[in-house]
Amino acid sequence: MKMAIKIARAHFALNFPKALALMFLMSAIVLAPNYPRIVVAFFVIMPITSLFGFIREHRTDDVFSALPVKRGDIINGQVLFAVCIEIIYISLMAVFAAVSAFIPFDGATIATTSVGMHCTPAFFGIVFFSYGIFNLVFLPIYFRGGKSSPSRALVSVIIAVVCSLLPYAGAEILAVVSPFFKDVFYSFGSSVIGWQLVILIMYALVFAAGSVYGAILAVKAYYK
Amino acid sequence: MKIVINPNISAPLYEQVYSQIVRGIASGEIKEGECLPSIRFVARELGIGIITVKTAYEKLETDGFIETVAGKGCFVRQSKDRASPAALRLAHIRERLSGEVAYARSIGVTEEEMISVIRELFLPH
Amino acid sequence: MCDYALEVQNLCKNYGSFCLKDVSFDLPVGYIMGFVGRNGAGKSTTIKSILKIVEPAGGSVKVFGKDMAGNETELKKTIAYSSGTFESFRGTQADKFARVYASFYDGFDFDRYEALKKRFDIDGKKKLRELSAGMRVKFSVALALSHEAKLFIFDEPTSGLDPVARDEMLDLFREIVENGDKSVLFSTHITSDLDKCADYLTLIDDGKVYASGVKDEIISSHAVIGGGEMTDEIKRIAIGYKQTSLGFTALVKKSDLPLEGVEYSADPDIEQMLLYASKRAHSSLS
Repeated sequence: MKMAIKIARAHFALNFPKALALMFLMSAIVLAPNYPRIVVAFFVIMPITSLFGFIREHRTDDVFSALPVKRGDIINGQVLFAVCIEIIYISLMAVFAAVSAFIPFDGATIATTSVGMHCTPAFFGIVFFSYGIFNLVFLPIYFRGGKSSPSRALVSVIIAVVCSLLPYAGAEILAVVSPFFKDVFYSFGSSVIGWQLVILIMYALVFAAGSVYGAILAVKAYYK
Repeated sequence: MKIVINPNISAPLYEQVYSQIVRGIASGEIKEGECLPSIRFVARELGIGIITVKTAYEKLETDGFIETVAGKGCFVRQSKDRASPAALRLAHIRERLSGEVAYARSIGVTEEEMISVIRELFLPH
Repeated sequence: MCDYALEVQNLCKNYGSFCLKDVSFDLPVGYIMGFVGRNGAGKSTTIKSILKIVEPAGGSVKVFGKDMAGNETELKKTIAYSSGTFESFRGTQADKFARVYASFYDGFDFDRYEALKKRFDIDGKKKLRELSAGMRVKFSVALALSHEAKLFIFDEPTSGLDPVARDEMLDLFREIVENGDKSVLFSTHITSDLDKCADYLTLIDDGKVYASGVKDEIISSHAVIGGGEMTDEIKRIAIGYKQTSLGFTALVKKSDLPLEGVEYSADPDIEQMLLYASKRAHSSLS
């Protein structure tokens, strides 16, 4: 694990083109009124795919492979790096979402004018869940074949994105079916905050589990 | 001690190193009991392969010019211990002839033909 | 104390259109081995398979007597590798890369690194793409020397370098092995590099090793022959041949001589050993 952290830090120090950093600012689109928050959450795909694309194009793996590090750790390090990107992205989204609660727009604040789910803590829980599924699906498929061919990488991204839509679909269905869930997902207020936090924490754990398991599968897939 | 390698003559490199050192010993430039520089040092200085120099040193030892003391280096043997002037002269001629012999072989001259040519050359005019 | 820095046996790798077949050679401790072949012969693939940058399909690799398979991370601590002229991480500052590199090796000596940088005249504050190709290779050597590597593997370290830079690089290799405890394996297609500093030679063509051992012995055990009329026997036995309307030349093992139709024979130089290997069943204008 220590080695994986070293690799992740190495990636941060070396593989971090400025473009990647700019992509984090996409999270600021949360500030746009009437814009689906769900879509903003999906923008995280960009830094992640460009990270792996960068790694593939510049053959940085060749350099890392010659270092005294186990192949499994190199992969775990890359996964850790991707996870950090996701966490940073969510945090930025949350920050901007909090800011948007104070910006007035058409009588309400931006926070409540979005299309689809609002940025409640429950929403972020769903986002975590979604990222967890994404990691779980994307990582093993990517490391099985996508490492060498861009087309297979694209396939792995598409499949993973489709799978990670499921939590949102589930939440939206629940919201339609039951007014209780509608409140939990859509409104702010002290009556629902407890549930929202529960959802947030629960799904953050799901995210962690999904990512870890995705990493394990990725290492196994690599060696096939 | 100086060693000059001529890359243009076809004598093998180790032969040149060998006979240059022999010449140095014969002329007194390299003193008896003197320690030769290490094989790797010579290889580095001359810009040639280590094994080439090693072959030359090994030949010097087989022919009795130097002896290797483990851990210390290669020392020039005392003149009474080492090769006679005859051997030194032969070593010198050997260097000069090896290029010619290689050329002769390449144009198809046989050993017997070569020897008969040399015999002719030895006859007093 | 181990005799061999590197022992490669029957290394195989399949790439569909190209494969390595039974690549084997040994590098004793304290010497320089030149790994030579034309472009596409399999040099980089072999090196990457040795270092497990790609997974070989078969064969074994031993470093200082220990099998690479079970001891990869431990052995890699004693190996330094540089590929071409450092194409990855071009936007990174040299010193920054050095710090990241150092974090993977215990006992990276920063004082030594600084001294080497000064000696090679490398500005650590510059980005890697701002250094010339020769400087980048020197930089990777500086990194390698600072972490006490005992086996240096360089993949085409001299390609793209002008003759002056090449000469400096080769002198650096000679310096590395001067103490007798470090070994160097470098691949190249520039045969004059090997005349200057290689003790051992491994020649590869089309994924197969066709000669390996002490350089002087390889040279003296082969011959370039020439004559007017090519015979079938020569065609069959030769490692490679060139046939024109005026005559033929071929590369054979000295042990196969004498042969019918040979008018002269001479010791080959390394360049000829390389050229003839790729001239199997090729005939030029006839």
